Amino acid sequence: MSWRWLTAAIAALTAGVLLLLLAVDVGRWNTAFARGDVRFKFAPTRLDLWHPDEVLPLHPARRLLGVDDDLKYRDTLRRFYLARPHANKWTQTNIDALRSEATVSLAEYIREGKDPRRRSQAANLLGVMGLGLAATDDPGQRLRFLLFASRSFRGALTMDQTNEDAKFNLELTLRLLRQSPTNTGGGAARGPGRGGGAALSKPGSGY
Amino acid sequence: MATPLLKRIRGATIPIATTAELAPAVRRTLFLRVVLAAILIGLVVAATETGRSRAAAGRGLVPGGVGGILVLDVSRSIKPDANRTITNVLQQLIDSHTRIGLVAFSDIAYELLPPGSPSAELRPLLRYFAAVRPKPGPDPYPPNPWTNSFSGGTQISSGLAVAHGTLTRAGQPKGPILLVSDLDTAPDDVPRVALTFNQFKAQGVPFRIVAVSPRQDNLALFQNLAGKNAFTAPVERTSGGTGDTEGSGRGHIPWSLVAIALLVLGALAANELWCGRLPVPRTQS
Repeated sequence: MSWRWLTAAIAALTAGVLLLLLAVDVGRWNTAFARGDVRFKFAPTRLDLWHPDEVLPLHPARRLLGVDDDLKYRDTLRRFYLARPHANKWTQTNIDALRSEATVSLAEYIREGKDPRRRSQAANLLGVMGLGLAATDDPGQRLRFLLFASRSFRGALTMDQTNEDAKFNLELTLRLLRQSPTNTGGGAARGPGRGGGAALSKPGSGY
Repeated sequence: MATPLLKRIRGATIPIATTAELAPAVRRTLFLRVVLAAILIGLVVAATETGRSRAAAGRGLVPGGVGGILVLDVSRSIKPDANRTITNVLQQLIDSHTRIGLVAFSDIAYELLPPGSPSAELRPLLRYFAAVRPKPGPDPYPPNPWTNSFSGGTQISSGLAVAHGTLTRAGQPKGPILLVSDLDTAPDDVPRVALTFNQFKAQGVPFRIVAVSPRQDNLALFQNLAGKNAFTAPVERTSGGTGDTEGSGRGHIPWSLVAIALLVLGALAANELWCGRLPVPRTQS
């Protein structure tokens, strides 16, 4: 056998092995989401959720499958879950940090996500974080976070007009804003009676 | 079709009866070629990374290079041993002869210099961050203007908000912001800092952070909030000269890059010497 044939055989064998390993990685990714989703229900703090042990370096299977958006979406929702937006902030020492990280992660997904419906969901959850942060005794901070929440819910509705959760939350936020003393100006959510959303407009004139 | 073309490209060859005797030389050459190719690829990657890191350092402290505003933490949590870093930052900005604003903050923030001020105006601040030996007694370090009236607790978000508001009023809503802080903000301020960073990212406001002796948990938190790319390289004085700091990269010969380039040249020369095709003169026919 000549050197040329030997080289060709080695190259073909290498390519074959690489393709086989790529197929193994693709198969692992195929099951990683289902397994990760189940594991998330029981151990949401695990850091290795939705991350299979890949054989090949540089994640070629992940790039080939284009699952980055799905991964980012799941990770963002996990951060939101860990931030516990409805929990009392005094029950956990680092809850402010967790909520802040969730806020940043949600905002990042809204900016970089590809699916408008998912981005709308993320914007809705970002508004929920704002509502959670508005639970403070400081009226100025309360107003600031309520305005932030209302902007987020409006953004969610801009991305997906069928997002009923965002509509409900926007209505709730505008009601809270109505009850909240304000001395700032500007925008639809600037003060009592000036909002243009579903809750405060006349029947038949909403979205 | 392909064979004559290949022959034309290769040029003249020496007809021989057998190539079996050349087999060891072929194997040796192949081995050398593979080794040299690996070395060359490694060196080129190293040169690229070195050049990239130098380019990042060459961008300077203020994102965008010019203008913007410096947001300086003057709270009590800043340890005296961190003064050297603050001095280096100030000195580097002074030496850059740029125009910059200054906001000082602790629990509240106020504008010390409006945007567009010559960076030389930062010079009077240097004395407050000069390295001094602690004196025995209850107050081992000399007081500064913010010691008694301005150090209730750190609210980084207030400094960032005042800085952005100042830039917006000055007609630079996307002006760059440089935060110099130990990142030890109040726990209830963390969500506001997150919202502020979100706002900056959404509006395209460039910002950079110089962490001054931060606690590891604070550093990790801010890296999650602002992103690791927002942090500058360590700002350290590399010689006794003023304003000669790591991070600026100005006025230095990039020795590491030069060395890697020389190694690349050496590897290429070795490749030509050991693995090059033998020159055979073309026949007249």
